[in-house]
Amino acid sequence: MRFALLVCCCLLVSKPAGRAEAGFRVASFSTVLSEVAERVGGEHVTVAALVKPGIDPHEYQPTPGDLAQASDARLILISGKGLENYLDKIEQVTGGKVEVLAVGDQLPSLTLRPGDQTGSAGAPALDPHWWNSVPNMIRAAGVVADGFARLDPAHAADYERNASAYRADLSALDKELRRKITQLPRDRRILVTSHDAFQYFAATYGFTIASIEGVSTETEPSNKHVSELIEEIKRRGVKAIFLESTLNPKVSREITRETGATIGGTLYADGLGEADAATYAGMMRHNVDTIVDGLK
Amino acid sequence: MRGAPLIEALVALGALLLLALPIRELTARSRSKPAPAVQAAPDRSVRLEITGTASAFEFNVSYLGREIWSGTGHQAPSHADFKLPVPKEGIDLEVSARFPDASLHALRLTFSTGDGIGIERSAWGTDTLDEVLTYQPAP
Repeated sequence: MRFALLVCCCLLVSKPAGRAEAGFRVASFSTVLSEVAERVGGEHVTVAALVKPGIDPHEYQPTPGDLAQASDARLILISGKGLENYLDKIEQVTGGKVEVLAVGDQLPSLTLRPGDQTGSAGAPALDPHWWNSVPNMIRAAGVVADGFARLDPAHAADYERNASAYRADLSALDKELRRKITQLPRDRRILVTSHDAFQYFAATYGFTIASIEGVSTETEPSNKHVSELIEEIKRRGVKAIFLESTLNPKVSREITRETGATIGGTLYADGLGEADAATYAGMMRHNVDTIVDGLK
Repeated sequence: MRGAPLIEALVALGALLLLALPIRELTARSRSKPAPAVQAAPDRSVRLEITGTASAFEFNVSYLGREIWSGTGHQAPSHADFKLPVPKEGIDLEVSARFPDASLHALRLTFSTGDGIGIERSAWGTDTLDEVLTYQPAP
């Protein structure tokens, strides 16, 4: 019954008639992958960016309109590594006829730290925040280019050329970020954030991390965990802790009162945001500038 | 006999006002603690040694955003000694170089402390080079 209602809703949300579109349609359930798809696809691809900037992807659920657009696409891009808990809805609506490319599943994985949730059958769950490392984005550009070339072999050379140009921009960005981070002594690279979203960032740029919540933004931290975190911040002399654009700052502010650390600023952990964080490069520059300036 | 309601209300208000200050002191969140002191890593004697594939190349080395060494490098090693704060987590050095031509060149920068342990890092570039080299003691 619920499925029938969902299908009816999808049929009611029809695509605007007469809209001119280039190439094949891609539906993206990630703000970051929307940018990758646009840069790699160029004129041959029309991207429907279904998860908007500033939306918490841990809590996002597709609307009937989003599902209708997904079923109209030839390719659906998702972050993967277990982030999208609504995959079954996509598969119900598309009937398995639209290819779903889980980009993150083709990239190296970090598992969640002890205390965070576990995956199915008790196996360690994967940290889904792979985009917070620029080298991962460089790999992702190749994964998307391969996916596009498989569906549209006639333009494979264009996709590879676009991906190369994008990778060159990302490599320059990576160098720029590393130079900025060198201003921070390695013993001060301790990143305390609202939720556990920066493991890939930490591994790439030489930080250790401590988070207030686990990897999901849907759970509240326990008193025991917050007390331990306060002790760690005091013991290691952490100067600043960081908020996140999509999360409630209440507990973070309480921790600053207990430790004397300051709020170093707000980070974009779960994808693109507004203003200076509306592009991937802008988001990473914002995060690195905020972290380095806060901890210096 | 009923009392005057206005007077009773004023007495109650007065009592509340008298209690307000001590209640606020008891229930207010504690004031922010002072910022934690960040202990800088101790200065250590450090030797840097540079060598390259080009017969001569201009280079500079920066640490924590500050240039600490610049000059002309050669195929024969050049070195300089410094006192630098070196945490146990290691250090990052930013190295820039300008080579005499556009062919592929390499440079090697060796970092060693007073304990005689040296860590070598290499970087490659054509025409110019700008890299961050990380030196971490073996675990």
